[in-house]
Amino acid sequence: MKLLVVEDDPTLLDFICQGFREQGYTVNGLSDGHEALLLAKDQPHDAAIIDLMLPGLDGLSLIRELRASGHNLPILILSARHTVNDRVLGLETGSDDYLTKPFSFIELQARVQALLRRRTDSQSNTQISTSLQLADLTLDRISKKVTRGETLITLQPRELSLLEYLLENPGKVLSKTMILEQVWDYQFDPQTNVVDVLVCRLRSKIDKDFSPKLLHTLRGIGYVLKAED
Amino acid sequence: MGSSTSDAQALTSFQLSKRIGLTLCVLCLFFASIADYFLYQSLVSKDFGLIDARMQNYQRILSHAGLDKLIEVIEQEQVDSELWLIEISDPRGRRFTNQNLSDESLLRLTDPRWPVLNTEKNRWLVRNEVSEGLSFTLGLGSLERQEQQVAYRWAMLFTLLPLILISLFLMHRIHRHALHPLRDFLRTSQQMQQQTDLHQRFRVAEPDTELGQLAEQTNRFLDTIERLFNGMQASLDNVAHDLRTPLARQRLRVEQLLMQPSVQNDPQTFEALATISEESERIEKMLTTLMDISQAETGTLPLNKQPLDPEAIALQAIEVYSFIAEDKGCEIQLKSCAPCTLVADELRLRQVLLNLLDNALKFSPENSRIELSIRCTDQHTIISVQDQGCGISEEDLPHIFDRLYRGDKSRGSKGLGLGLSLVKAVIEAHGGELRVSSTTEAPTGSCFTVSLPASGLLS
Repeated sequence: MKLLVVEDDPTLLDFICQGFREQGYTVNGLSDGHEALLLAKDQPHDAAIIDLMLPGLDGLSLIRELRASGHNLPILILSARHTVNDRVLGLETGSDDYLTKPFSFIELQARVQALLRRRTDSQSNTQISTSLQLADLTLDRISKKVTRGETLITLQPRELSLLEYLLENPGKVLSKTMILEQVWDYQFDPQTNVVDVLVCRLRSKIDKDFSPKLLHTLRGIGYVLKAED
Repeated sequence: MGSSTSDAQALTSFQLSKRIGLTLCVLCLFFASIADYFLYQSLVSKDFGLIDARMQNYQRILSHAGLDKLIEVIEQEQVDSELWLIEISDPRGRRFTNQNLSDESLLRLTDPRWPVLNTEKNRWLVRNEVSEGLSFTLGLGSLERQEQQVAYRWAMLFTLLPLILISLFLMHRIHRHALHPLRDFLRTSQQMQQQTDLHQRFRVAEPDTELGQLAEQTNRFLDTIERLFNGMQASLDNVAHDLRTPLARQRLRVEQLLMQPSVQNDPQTFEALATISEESERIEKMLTTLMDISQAETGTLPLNKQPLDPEAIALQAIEVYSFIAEDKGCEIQLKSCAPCTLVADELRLRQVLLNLLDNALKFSPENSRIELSIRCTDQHTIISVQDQGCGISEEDLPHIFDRLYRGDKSRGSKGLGLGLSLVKAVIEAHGGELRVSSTTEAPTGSCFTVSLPASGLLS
C-alpha cells in the first residue's frame, strides 16, 4: 500500500510517515502543495492524507486539482480548523474523510484503513462474514447471539455494537473518539465518559467470569480486544 | 420583526404629520379669533360713528325747529325699528319712542356705563345725550354687524380650511419623502442584523445632505466593525491552528511511546505518559469548547439550522446516558406534549441536551429521578431538565454560566467547567434563552430551562 502524506509541519509529517511505515506502508511525505501535485500525477498512490494549510498550493486546491485530473484515490483531510463549514467544504471538494488536529495516530490509521477497505470492498465486493470470533468469544451477526465458550451472553444493543466493532478490529487499539463515533454516531464527546461506562459494562459481561481476559484498557490511548497479553 | 418595526416607523411619520396639523389648526383658530375680535371692534366703532352722526343731526333739527318738528322728521324717516332704537324723553316722561321696551330696559338706557343694551331680539349699541332739557337715546341694532361678522367668518372658513388641508397633505408628502431614506437605512440595518451580514453597506445617494453624511459615517463604522470581526475570526483560527499543531505532535509522540513494549513494561513511565496523553486530550477538549463558546457568543458559530423533532433528539440523548443513569440507580423520564418541530442545528442541540443531562446526573443522588420535559407554545419550544440533586447554593447561582467556574460541589468531578457556558452560548446563538431555578431546601433540585424560538429563521 502506498500513501501520499502532505503536511507542512515537519515534526507531524515525520510522525505520520514513520507511524505508517512501521505498519508496513510505503509512504511519500511532502510539505509543499505543488510538489505533492506533481508527485501524485507522476506515481499512483492508494490513498492520500492532506493538510489544509500548505505552502504553495493549499490543501483544498490540491484536492480539486487531483480530482480534476481524474485521480480517484481516497483522500483524508487533516486540519487544525474546527468548524462544520470546513468539514462540509472539505467533503464537497472531493475528499472522503476529515480529521481535526490534534488527532490520535490510532484514529488516523483506522480511518485510512477504513478508506482503503471501502475501496477494496467496492472493487471486489467481498462477502462480510456472518460470524465474528476471537478466542472462545463468538458473535453471530445475523442472530445477534454472543457466546463465550458454552455460555450464552445477553447484551444490550449498544454493548452489542461495541463488541461488533471490537471484534472487527481484533488486536487494534480503538480510541474513545472512534468508539463514540462508531457506536453512537456522535461527532463530539459528552463530558462524562460514556465510553468508559459502556466498556466497563461490556467487560463485566464478557470477561468477568472468564479467562483469559480479552478486553484491555490502554490508558491514555483507548481499548483493545486481544486474546494474549 | 422587520415589518412591525417599519410599521412603527410609518406610524411615527403619520403621527408627526398629525401633530403638526393639530398645531396648525390651533394657530389658525387663534389668529382667526384675533382677526374676528378686531373686526368686531371696528364694526362697533363704525356703528357708534353712525349713531353719533344721527344724534348730531337730530340735535341740530331740535335746536333749529323744535321737538315737534324733530318728531315729525323722525316719523317721516320711517326708520326700521329693528335697526334703530330712538328714545326721546323729558323729566315729565317719554316724548317719543319707536320701541316697545320694558321699564327695566328703559332704566338701563339712561345709565351711561352701559353702552350695550340686550333685549330679547336685539343687542343695541346705545348713546345717551341730554340737550335742551331732553334726554336723547339712540341705539343701533346688531343685525347688520352680525351679518357682516357671519359673512366674514364664512370667508375665513372657506380660505383657511383648504389652506390647512393642502398644507397637511403637502406636509405628509414631505415627511414621507424626507423619511424615505431613513426608512431605507432602517431596513438595511435590520437586514444586516438578521443575516449577520457585515458586507452590506448603506447606499449614499446624496453625500452632501445630513442623511448622506450619516450613511457615510455609519459605513465607516461598519468598515471598522467588519475589520475587527474578521480579525477576531482570523486570530481565533490562528490560535486554534497554532495550538493544535503542537498538541498533535505531543499526542502522537506520547502515543507512539505508549505503544512500545519497553514502555509498557515500565509501570512508572507508562503511568506518567498515560497521564500526559489524557491531559493533552483534556486540553484539546477545552480548546475546542472555548472556541465554540467564543464563536457562539460572537455570532460566528456556523449553525446548520433545520426543522427537528426535539423529542427524538431528547430520546437519543437519554439513551446515551442510560448506562450511567442505570449504574447510579437513576431514572431519566421524558415528558412531552403534542409532537412539535423546532428549527435548530441538530448537532448543537444534541450537545446542549447531553450537557444538561450530564450536569443533572452529576449532581443527582443515587436512586433519584431526572425529568426531561418538552413543551411547545406557538412561539417557543421549552425543554427543561429537572433533577433531585443537592441544588445550587446562592453564592454559586450567579456564576454557574461563567467560563471555567466550578462550584464547591462540582470541584471534585471530572468536568471542564465549560459545559453550562457552552449550553448558554449555543442557546443564545439560536436566539433562545437558558434559565435556571434551584433550591437547596428539601425537596432539593435544580431545573435548567431552555427556551428556543419555535420557528427560528432558516439559515
